[in-house]
Amino acid sequence: MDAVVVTVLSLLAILFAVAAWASRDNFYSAIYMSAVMLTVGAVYAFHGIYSVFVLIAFIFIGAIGIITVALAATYRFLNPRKLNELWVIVVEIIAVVLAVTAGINTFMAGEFSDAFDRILPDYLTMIAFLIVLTTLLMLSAISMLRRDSA
Amino acid sequence: MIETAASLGLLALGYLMMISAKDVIRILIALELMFSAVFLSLVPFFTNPSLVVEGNAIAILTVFASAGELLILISAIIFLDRKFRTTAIETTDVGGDVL
Repeated sequence: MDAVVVTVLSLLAILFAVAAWASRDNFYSAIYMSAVMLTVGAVYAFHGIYSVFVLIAFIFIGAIGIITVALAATYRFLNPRKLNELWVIVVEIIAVVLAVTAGINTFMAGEFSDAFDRILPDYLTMIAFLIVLTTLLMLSAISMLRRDSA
Repeated sequence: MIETAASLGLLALGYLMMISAKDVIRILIALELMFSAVFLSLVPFFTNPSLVVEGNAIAILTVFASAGELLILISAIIFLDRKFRTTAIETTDVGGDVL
């Protein structure tokens, strides 16, 4: 049963990624990309690794994902270039061979477990780290913006 | 494991999306696809009892580093649009400093 759920989630992730690549509109590509992130987070949640699921859900789907969707909704009209079909087929064959090889040669060494409490005492510390990181990045962005407009 | 195979598939699709992009927004989306492949490839760490702590630490560092990188890229895209009134990749240069 576990393998079926993980296989379905992985296939959904691949399908959403194909849709993000095939879509001509940046807005829909960003939506499909958020769906890929959601399925990746769902894999972690299904295995009971909730700390990584929380990180992916809050930071990538919640913050970065929303900004990307908003940005893509603003600039959505440049069509991507058409790739040579032969080149795409070669890349896909190599990717499938690599994926099958990696999938066969990696294995479960035991049951899934989470060790977040052995790295950080609680989620508040992590939230504090995230706020500091975002503030530092935004401060540098604001200083660049002010220098640019001066 | 199925997750590792799926992560390689996601990485290949991210690369394909990157090389077919004509604007930087699409490159940003492709990068996020590649980061999702990275997160999926970390799953096997959590099955080995002697590597679970390392897996958690790598996951936290990866999430923070990639979030910072994506925030900087989003700021750079906004600056690019303010300066050139376009997000086409033809306006960018190698290294980004000679324009």
